[in-house]
Amino acid sequence: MVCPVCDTRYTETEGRACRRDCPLQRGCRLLSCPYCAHELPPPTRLTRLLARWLGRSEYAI
Amino acid sequence: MQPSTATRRADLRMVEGGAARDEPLSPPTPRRWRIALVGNPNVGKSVIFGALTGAYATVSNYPGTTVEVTRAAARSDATVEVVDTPGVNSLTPQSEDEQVTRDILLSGVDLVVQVADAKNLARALILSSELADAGIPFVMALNMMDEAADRGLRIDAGRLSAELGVPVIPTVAISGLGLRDLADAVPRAAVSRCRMHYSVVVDRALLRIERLLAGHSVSQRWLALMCLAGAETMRSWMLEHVVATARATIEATRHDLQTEMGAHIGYELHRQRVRAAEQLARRVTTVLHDEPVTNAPTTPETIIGVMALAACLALFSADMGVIPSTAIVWIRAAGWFVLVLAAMVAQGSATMRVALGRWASRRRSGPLVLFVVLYVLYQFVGVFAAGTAVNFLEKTVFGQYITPIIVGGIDTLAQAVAPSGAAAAVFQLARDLVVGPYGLVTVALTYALAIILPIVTAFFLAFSVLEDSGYLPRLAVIVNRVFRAMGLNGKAVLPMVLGLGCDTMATLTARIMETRKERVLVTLLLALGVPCSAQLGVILGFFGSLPLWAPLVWGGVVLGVLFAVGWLAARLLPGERSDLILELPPMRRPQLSNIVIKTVGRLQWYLREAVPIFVLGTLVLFLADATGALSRIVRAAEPAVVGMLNLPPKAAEAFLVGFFRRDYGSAGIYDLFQHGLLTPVQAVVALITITLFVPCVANFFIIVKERGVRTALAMSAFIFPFAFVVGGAVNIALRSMGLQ
Repeated sequence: MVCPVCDTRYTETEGRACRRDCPLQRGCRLLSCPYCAHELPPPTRLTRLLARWLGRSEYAI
Repeated sequence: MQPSTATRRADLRMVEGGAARDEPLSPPTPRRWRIALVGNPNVGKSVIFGALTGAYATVSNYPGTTVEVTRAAARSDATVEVVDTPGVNSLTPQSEDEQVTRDILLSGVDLVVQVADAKNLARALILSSELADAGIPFVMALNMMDEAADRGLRIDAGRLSAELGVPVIPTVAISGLGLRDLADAVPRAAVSRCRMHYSVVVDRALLRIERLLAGHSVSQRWLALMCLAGAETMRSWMLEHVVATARATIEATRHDLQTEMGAHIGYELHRQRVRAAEQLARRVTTVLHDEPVTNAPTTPETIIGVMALAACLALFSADMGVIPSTAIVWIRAAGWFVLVLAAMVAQGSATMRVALGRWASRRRSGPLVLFVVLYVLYQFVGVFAAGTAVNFLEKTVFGQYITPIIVGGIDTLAQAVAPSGAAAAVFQLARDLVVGPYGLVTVALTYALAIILPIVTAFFLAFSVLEDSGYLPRLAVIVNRVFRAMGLNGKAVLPMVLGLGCDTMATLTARIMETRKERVLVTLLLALGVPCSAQLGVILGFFGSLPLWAPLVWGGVVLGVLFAVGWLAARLLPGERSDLILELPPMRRPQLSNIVIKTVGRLQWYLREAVPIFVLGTLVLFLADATGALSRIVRAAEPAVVGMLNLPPKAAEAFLVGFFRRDYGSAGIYDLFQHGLLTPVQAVVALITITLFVPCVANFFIIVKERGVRTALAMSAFIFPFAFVVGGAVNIALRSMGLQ
């Protein structure tokens, strides 16, 4: 992932780890930038399929 | 992996001294070696920590703080402890995170692995100079070399190592490159000889303080620098370690220097350090190709920018009814043509994007760019999505097909089964649960899928364009200026801007604030007046159905309340302000494929999270209605809802469900307006009240967790009546102006 606010590059695990305190973590599962906490939706089967179809490998800019 | 001989010898001397005095009968337990990973935020420390240590790490809060520190044994030697410290921009602390890192270093570490971001070397070298002043041996991992190369930066690691006097190892931690070399270099860590040379007056003051601090195991120069910089957190350390007369002399020295320099000492020291770091970074860096970031906007770009602004103002005037009706069609056509043209130029021209980036973050032009962004957002989300898509989904798809089909199915089933007595009553209850006034289909699914989904889809699309373009950090710069005018800490900007995504996460981000009072203040402002993305989307969608004065009144009141509360609180909470340090990425061309993927991802998240909560909220309403509790709540709320706000009693239900999710409450008000139960004035009053109203349940619980039950209850006790008082005042003001 690349954070669109601060340009931080982070992995899905890092994005999950930094928001373990959120009471909705199980429900919402958004990823959060380890530096500025800006949120991105987690990759799902559908988004991965879309990414492959559109020729992109990950959330990037 | 063992520390250098020099470091080991220094430490052995300390152990031997103690042993000679005490003559212990049993051999002393060998002290565990400690290596600290230090670096700016987000430079890949955690990845390097993982590479240097084994699988078993301990994560615990640093004593007395909420900051987490990770420790583990080194992979190559179990007697060596590796500590992953929080990311810092300076060792003179301005936040709890920075204080924890400073305290870990103060408590005594044997050596440091400094992780540096190669593409932002100057920022890392500021820390290096502080480590040099602290006299702590270190080795530098020059990380993210691949990203630096992508930006056309080539760093001469050998020359940097020679200048610093410490090993410098180029790494790409995320792909494991250079990590073995780094582990091998750790034993060669050394104290850097690259010490800062401050001005004569500063050096004189430093020497004077250093003499007073002689005898402490930590570098006297570093301690003296922190005392001079006025680090608040040094006060407790000095009380414990420095005698009263010396403390008084240090304070007098600091005061004299402050008078002589005429500027804040901490700021001046930092400025000198930044200048030296930038000079060193320039000496070791070769720029292979220049980014066009430094180019000033040329005449054609300025003309296009001015035309886009003029087009937006013309469209806005047309919406306000200022322009004669005969010219409106032409004005609209020309306005949108110019805006689309400007967007196409920005999409294709790098220099136009650079110019746009400059305008977006400048003092005078920034608010004008924000006006254009908000206007286009309002037209896309409010007028297009909420006007067209919601009408189609709610009135056609749900109104003509889904609800009638389900009602027909249930009625057919009722006729076939023909229940009687108690069974009939149960059947009627089940029917109401599905399609009654508080039914899962008629309320939960209609709100979630027919009203909010099309609006948030448009909002998420627009938001993805904004975030991929690089506009959001520039918005933070503009907000920072407002915060400075309020007298608030610059660091408060980040949580406040992030609150537009999710207030719950933003409340967690308030940890970066320096003092507890500041954290409480930011949490209060977030809970009070920053709508989350879903609520903001619904409110923007709502504005499409209201006169143009409605968004102006809503925005003016909410921003005015935030400004007033913030200004007042800043007066009540005196203290030094800190600066906002945010690296501005370049303005980019948003990629359609990326926008589509992110919007789909966000919609999936929304459907997974919001729909169950909508169902839960509707169930609560249904049960409250079935047991008669709802009518009692509505009656109890009547003095406030009807008396103060002049709203129909049914609006109380929207406030009730607003506690589950803020967008649910806003959608309830929207639904009332669509059914003709609210006038525009009532709608604006209700929207202002629900924006300022108590936070959603998730946000409330995170406030309890972060700030404690008492603070959370106190905040709610303030916000709840305050929101109604402001709503009531707006109601009186709008009516006295003759608006309906």
